[in-house]
Amino acid sequence: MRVVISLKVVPDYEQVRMAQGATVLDVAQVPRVVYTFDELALEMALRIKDKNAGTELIVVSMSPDAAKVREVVKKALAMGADRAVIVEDAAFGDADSWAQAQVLKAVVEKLGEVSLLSYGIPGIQGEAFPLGVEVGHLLNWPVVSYASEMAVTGDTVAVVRHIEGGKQSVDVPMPAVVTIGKFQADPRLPTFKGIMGAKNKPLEVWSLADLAVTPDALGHSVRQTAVAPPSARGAGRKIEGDAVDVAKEAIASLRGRQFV
Amino acid sequence: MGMQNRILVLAELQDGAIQGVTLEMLGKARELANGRQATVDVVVLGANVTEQARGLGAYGADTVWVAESPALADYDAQAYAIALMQVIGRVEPTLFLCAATSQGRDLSGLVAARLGVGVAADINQIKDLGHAWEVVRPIFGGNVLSTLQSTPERCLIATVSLRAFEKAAADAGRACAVEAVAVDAITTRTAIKVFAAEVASGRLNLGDAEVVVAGGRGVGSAEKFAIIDDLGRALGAAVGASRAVTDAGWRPTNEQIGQTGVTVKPKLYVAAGISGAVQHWVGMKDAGYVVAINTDPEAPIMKTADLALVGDLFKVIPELIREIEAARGASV
Repeated sequence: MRVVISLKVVPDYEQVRMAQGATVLDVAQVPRVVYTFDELALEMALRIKDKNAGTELIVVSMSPDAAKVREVVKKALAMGADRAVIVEDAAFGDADSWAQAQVLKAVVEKLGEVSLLSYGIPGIQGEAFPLGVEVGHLLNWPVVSYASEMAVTGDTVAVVRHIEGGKQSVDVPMPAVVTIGKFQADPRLPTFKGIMGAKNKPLEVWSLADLAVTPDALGHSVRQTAVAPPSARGAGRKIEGDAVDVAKEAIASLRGRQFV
Repeated sequence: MGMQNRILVLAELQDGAIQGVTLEMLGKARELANGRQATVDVVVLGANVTEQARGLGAYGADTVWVAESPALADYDAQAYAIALMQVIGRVEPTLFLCAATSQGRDLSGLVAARLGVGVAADINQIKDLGHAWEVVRPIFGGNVLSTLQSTPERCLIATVSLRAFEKAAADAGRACAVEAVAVDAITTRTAIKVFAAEVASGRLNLGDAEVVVAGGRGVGSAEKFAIIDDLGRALGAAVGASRAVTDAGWRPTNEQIGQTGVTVKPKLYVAAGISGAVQHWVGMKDAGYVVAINTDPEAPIMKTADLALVGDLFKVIPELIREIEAARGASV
């Protein structure tokens, strides 16, 4: 069984800041991290590989600059993935969800015999251009999103979806696309043995030409035209002292604002 | 696909009930439609939803498209997308709005793929430029506001953040047309098995709540979390928790507020025993007024809260409840 995990490398959002009044966002110096939910997808796929002998796990990352994602896919190989593909093209800088889906589809088709494609659900960290569920439609595969658990039996992947109000269990025939929304475990750390072993694992860099996708076919239907910092939120009022006095003052303040 | 001067809203349903965010999207859709003499269409997917759907006329819908089928009783992305595409084909909207929820994000992507356009995700502002749409969405955990423009003469698909817009005011006398969508032949390859609700009945829905009280690691245990419930009750608030609490199993995971949990946008947010790490901050930063209770005045949340109460939550909260009850008593 061949499992593909898409890893998106994004600027560490906790460290992205814009000064008040700024109109340009420069993230060049911001450290890169793997999108949190893609990392969870990788860990879930590694667990599937642990349980299902013969599973080949391939990580794919799209980037305008292969050098920027090389360390990330190497780490995935050290964690236990078998093979890595970086798709490099300058056009990825602001590729919208539709453009990315077309590329991922081409990657999956070029790899061939993929049973499961998985990655993190979009929109949680507010990454600039999230990858949505479009690729499932392009491949004509069923899509299940917001997965928090995945288990493979034969040709079926059993998925638990964690959604508003509760959990839903879904059995999906593979090949399928599963996007990950939650997972109650931290991604594993690479072992020394894993790091050494990763050096001998295949890591290829493909271009859009290798995939027979033309950059202009990516056509961005939504374009970023401006960026701005959010309005600043200053420190508020601190109330200290005896609990009774603190509560009295706090409630008086909340009453003044009609919260109580 | 052609494009008509129509704005389409996908109604958000949970357990068969239309959710508040639908009225928020309708409020904005109506305002935009009035500015360009467009019509507002709403699509409602589910089982036994016609009566509820008809009621959306009062909130500004001109036409409600109802796809009603037992096959749509439980959410199945493929089945819903098939039904939805029938409506998209008939309406040919210039703007298609979905809620930024698990369903809305899914379906917006599936429709986008079928139309060959991208999705503007989690917007909280939208403006009509005449030839195109301009939207604003927070990116990088809300540290940056990104303005996006749609391609002229192409449909814009956007997911709308919860509580981004004011709910449409009801006009009970206003009626709408109801169009039934034929959905007999939906078959999909996925097998939806069970849905297990995690929300105990009687608890308020976090994402929709106007007042939220949340407890963090400082609460100490599952048993002691009752004090957070008590404060929630006194304030008429929905109760949530930080990730430390749900990871420890003191509260169910669906009550987790933060980056990997629920995003809330209440008018009042009370955080007790929560330090306010970025992970948590992302989930509640749009709250109107933040009260933090913490023994550590240097905790991150104490520095950004509107009201920072320094003290032991087990001493402060009972006093807060006493004061709230006293205030209630005085105003009766």
